[in-house]
Amino acid sequence: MDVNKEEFESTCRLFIDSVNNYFSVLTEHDSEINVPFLKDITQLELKQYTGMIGVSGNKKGYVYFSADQELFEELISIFIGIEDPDKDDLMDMAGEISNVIAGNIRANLGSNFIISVPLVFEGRPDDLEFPENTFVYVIPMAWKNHHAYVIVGLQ
Amino acid sequence: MKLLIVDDSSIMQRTIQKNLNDYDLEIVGTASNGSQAIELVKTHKPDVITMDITMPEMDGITCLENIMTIHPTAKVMMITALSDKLTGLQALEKGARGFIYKPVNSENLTRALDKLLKRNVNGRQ
Amino acid sequence: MKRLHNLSIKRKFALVLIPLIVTIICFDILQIRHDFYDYQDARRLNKAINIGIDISHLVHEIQKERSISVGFQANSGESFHENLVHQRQKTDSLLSHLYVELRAPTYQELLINHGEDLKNMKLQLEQLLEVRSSVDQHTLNTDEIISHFSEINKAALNTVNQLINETRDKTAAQQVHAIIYFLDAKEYASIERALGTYTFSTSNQSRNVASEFASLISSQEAYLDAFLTISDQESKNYYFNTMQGADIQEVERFRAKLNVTDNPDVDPTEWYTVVTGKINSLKQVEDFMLENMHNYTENMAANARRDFFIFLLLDFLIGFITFTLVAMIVLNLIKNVAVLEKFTREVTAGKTSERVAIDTRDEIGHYANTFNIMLDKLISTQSELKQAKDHAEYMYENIYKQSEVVFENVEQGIFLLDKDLKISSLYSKAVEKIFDNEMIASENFCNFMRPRIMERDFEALQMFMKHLFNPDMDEEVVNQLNPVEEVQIYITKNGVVISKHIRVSFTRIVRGEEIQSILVTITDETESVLLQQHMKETENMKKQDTEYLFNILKVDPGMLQEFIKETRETLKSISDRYEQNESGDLNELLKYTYRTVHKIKGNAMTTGVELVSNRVHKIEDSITKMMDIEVTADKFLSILYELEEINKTLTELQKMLEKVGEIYKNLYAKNELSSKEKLENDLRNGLQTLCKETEKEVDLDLRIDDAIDLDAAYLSPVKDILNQMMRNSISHGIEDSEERISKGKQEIGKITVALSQADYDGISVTYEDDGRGIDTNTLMIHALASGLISHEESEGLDDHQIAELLTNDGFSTTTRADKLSGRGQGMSVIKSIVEEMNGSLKISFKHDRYFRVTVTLPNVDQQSFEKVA
Repeated sequence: MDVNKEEFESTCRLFIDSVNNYFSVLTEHDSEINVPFLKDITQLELKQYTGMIGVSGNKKGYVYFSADQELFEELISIFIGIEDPDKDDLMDMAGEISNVIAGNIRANLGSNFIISVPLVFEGRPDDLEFPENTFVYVIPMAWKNHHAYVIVGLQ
Repeated sequence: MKLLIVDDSSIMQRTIQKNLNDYDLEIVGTASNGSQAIELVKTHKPDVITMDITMPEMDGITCLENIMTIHPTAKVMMITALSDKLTGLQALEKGARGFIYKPVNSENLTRALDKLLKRNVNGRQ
Repeated sequence: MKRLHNLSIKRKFALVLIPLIVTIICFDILQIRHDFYDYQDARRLNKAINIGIDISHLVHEIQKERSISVGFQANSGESFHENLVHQRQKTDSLLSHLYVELRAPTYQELLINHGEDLKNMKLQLEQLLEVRSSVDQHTLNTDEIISHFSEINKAALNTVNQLINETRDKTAAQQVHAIIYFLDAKEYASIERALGTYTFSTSNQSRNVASEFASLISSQEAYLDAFLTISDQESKNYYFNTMQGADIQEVERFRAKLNVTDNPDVDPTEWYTVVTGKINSLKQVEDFMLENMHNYTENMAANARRDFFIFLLLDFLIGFITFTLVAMIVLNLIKNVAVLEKFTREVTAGKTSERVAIDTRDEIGHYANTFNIMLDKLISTQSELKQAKDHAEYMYENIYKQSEVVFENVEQGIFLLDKDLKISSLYSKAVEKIFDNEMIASENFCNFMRPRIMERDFEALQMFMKHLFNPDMDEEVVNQLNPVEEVQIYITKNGVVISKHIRVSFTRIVRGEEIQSILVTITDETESVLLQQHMKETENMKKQDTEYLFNILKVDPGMLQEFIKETRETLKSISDRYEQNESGDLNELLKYTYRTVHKIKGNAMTTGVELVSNRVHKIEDSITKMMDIEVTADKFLSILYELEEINKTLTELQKMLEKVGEIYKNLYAKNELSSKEKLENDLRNGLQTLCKETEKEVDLDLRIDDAIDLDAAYLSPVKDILNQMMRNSISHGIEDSEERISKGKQEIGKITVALSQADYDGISVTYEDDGRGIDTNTLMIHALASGLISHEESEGLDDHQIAELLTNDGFSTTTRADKLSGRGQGMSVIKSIVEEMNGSLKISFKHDRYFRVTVTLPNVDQQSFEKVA
């Protein structure tokens, strides 16, 4: 039990670190992690824009980064200095964050941790993909005054 | 010197572009996938190329391999979120001269580019 | 030449000095000999002159006797008779004197060399007697007489000539010749006198006397001229001073008479006297010269002798001084050189303690000084060198030892790789330990790692090493891609494969432009011991879990079913609370979690599901630890995980229940229990379990009002409350039997529970034990110690305030935390349940008598407790 617990914890920690790293490297504000919780897939709530990375290899599942428009707007403003990004930009940004967060984890989980090109969507599609019969871990996070979810569903 | 940016994220393309404003680099193009990149390399023969790995259609490693056959003197710097070592080493093996991990801020981008260009100078001596 | 140069200094000196000294000595000897010969010569000449003087005196007398004899013969003995006798005596006296002289031993050496001449002279002198007797008998004519005497004189003068004519002194030789010329001249003058005496004694001028005279005079003049030419000035002066006066002029007058007249009337005696006067003057000159010569030779001898001694002395002196100086200087030089040489040898042999002592101030002295200074410097340099060497040795030893020690003890595995990726033969001991292998040196690093890492990592490592040695590749860029930065290695140890987590880092060692080698550092991060402990714990846990699982079979399936259902609800509620509580107070959230799981634990225990109560206890442990440090949101992950684990256990229990469902099916049908019966069963079971654990005996008096509608909504909270109260009573309130007896109480403790319908559509639960009640003083002390109240507040507390204290989070009168008593959360859990149900709580007690809690729960809206499965 404890070995699995450690493994679970360390895997979750990888995601948390990955998110924290993203914001600390690219912005002047660190992100903060809130109390994570378990959620049944059917009851999962998402924010406005979500980037999804499919994971295959030793571990299978999905990693989501979901946040509202304002967070992505602010990031875009910081990175390239435009104030009124269009929807494509927002989706692009969501995809890039998911990509980096998932990509960074590969160092620790090895190259058998194969990640897909990010898939980005707005709102909550009906056919949200997650492995069956699993709770997903929702790690809520805050950056400046924005809130986001890192959702990890891995077998 | 001519620069080509290859990244499937337009935000990243623009971020790199913005961060390299201070360099004497002429951006000859941006590509969001490997096939586009190869076409641009054929046309412009860029001196420096930044290359993402995770891209639709043709990934960065395959793209790099193709570029090296078309334009072997190009100095390719991989910019990727894929932190696994073998992928990075494969990139070096295929002819990449620089390597940095995403997330990329202006500091580590310019630092890596300085290294890349300095290498370049030394190589010609 | 080279052989000469190679000679030792001593021999060189000898080679130069010995011939020089020998030459000087030879010259000295020659000089001394010369002086000695001069002396001998002078001595001999002096003696010869002495004898010559005697002979010339004799000749002088014979000359006179000749003239007298001629006169005597010419006038047939008329005149000169007396003169003759007288003269003969004089002559004989001188002759005998000469003979005496000649016999004197002083002259023997001299005379031996002139034996022939002397013998001849003696023969002639012996004829003198015959000539005399012939004169007396008149048997001889004048010419014959003159001739005989002249023969004698000639022999005598010749002897004189021979005697004195042997000298090495030039001045003496010249003067000797002058004397000889003078003696010859005098002899001619004497013959002239004899011839004159004869001529003047006879009237018969038969002969040509004049021409004879002329011849005699010219011979006489010739010798005198010769004498005057070579004689010294002093003799000449003496000659001219002596040869003047009447006699000389008279002789000239007689001579003139002889020439002009054939028969001059001249008295022969007068002639004789005049001529003799002249001849005596000549004799005077002769004596003067001989005397001078004698003195001269004597001086000469004395000088020569003096010179001889002086030279001899000088020679000795010079010889002595030279020898002494040479000895002193050369020996000193040689000695010093020898000292230096010996010293140099000693220094060469390593003996440097002494200094060379040469007190001379010559080059050798300076050299010795310089040598000493050099030696001092040498020694100081040597000692510096030695110090440096010692230091170097020390450093080497130290560094080597230190590095050895470091290499022996350093926890990291450290070694170098060359271009062929060969592992250096020097590596830290930890390398062997990490890989559990001693065959490391000279191995190819990649090949060495291959069986120990994943194939993919090996592939990456090969590429990585290639780029690491590629100087065109930036070290930092390459090191970003180190595939074994953190890697799991697999090691076969005693046939068992174990894994380790190691960290490997690489640093280029660059010399010039070239990458010479790579420094590899390996750190073992396995913490294998801890891991093993964890594994053991897990194993034990599993064993325990199985045991617990079997125990569960003893539990009433209905109760178990209900427990599972209730617990699932509770667990979900925690996660729900987390979701709602996104930005809330984390500490509060943690406390909530604690209270909730504590409730689960209580239920699990009363139900007898140790499998769950154990896990919950673990969660409580984790939470307690978290409370000590600052809570961060990510900490909830592990709680969440553990809750999920409990959930999984519940699922397993559920499955197990279903499997054994058939067995229990009948039991379900037969014993369909009412909620009241269930409650009673649960409480009695729970109390039994608690009593068993504490070895206390407690009776439960449960009174349930029949009118009460014990809805499921009440059942769970009421059961939770009563469970918690019973645990409180047994751990804190009810004393053990001994104590009870001493207090005069019944041995068996008693708990009374009464459930009744409350006045306002709710239920009322009254719980009472007959234990210690509350000791207000002890309570106060704990409250003060926990910082719950201040001293001021502690005075005059009423029951209500005390109840407040008891229900405060973190208040406990027990310092020991065990499953039974919890951690002082008992009352606060009850309080939170009551508050959740919008109920009220009343506590009353009497010290050592009772402790009573009355809970009133209002009617609950059924909808809000709709269970969602």
